[in-house]
Amino acid sequence: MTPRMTLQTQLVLRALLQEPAKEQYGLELCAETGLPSGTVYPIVARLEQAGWLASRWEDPNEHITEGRPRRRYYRLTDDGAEQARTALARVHRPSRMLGLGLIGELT
Amino acid sequence: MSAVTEIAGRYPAGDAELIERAYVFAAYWHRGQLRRSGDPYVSHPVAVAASLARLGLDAPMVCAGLLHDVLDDTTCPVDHLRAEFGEEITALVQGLLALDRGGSLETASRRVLILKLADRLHNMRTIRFVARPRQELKSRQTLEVLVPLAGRLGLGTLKTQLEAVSLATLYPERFASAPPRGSRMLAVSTVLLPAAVRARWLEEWSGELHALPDRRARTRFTLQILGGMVRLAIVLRRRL
Repeated sequence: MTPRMTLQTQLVLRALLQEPAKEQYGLELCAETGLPSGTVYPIVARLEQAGWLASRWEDPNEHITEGRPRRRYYRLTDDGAEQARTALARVHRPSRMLGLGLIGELT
Repeated sequence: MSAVTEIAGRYPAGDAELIERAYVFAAYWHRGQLRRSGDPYVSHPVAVAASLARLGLDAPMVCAGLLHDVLDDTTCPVDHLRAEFGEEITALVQGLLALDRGGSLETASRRVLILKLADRLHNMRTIRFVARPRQELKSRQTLEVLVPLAGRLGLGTLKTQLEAVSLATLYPERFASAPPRGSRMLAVSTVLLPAAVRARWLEEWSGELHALPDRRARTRFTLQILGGMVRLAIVLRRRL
């Protein structure tokens, strides 16, 4: 089942696609997308259900030595990265010129 | 012994005698052994048996609670246990032992699983006497495996008790004395989520709260999560 490409979902996917192999935790995704936490977690949950994302708990050696609770890390699966690129490309095709122009301005 | 007399007092005379005998047997074989807390070792099986009695379980289960560590931690021969207490109680004790030595939760009997849960509950309640990494390991394992198991077995009381003690161990600053308003609100509102995944999300958010710089940021984060809780619940409850 392909997740619906809402604007918020697109933002989350773009943040993850910047470095597809890198793992990110929820708070990082909130910061990168500028979306509220209450929006980001349902999106990552849905993407994880769809198999686009995988998540894991942080290695105990890292968080225990730093004396903080462990983080939950998310990253795109290989299949998820591919599907995400395709889905994002499809979303932008109809208004390609406008879209590209805008993105050019913003980035 | 008074704790045992109290437990035994809940049962008819014949059962009460069996329970007292099980206590004497356990106290004999664990003699000289201490818990990490410094208490006589037998205080642990007694606490486990008390939990089982409070849950309304029968005398063989209470006896198995009292005797559950004699095969593992003492030189008591299994034949000796069987001769004194019979096949049913011995099988329960052996079942728990097999489970603790890497046996599968799937194949263990319901009664052995209840024994396991009661054993873990008291171990969690006295876990402050073990090293911190092990505290965290045991708390997580309890939250991830035993709390859902208690739920599946329909043991609401044990489930709540195990969950509370594990969360309080993992996040003493948040759950023990005065939890910040935010995380308690989060804990309460996770009832919307499927039971099996509540602990996971709560732990994830507790980690994020911990990382935020100040109270304002934590409050904002919490309010946003609360705002998205219904949506998350819908996502997580959707059948694929």
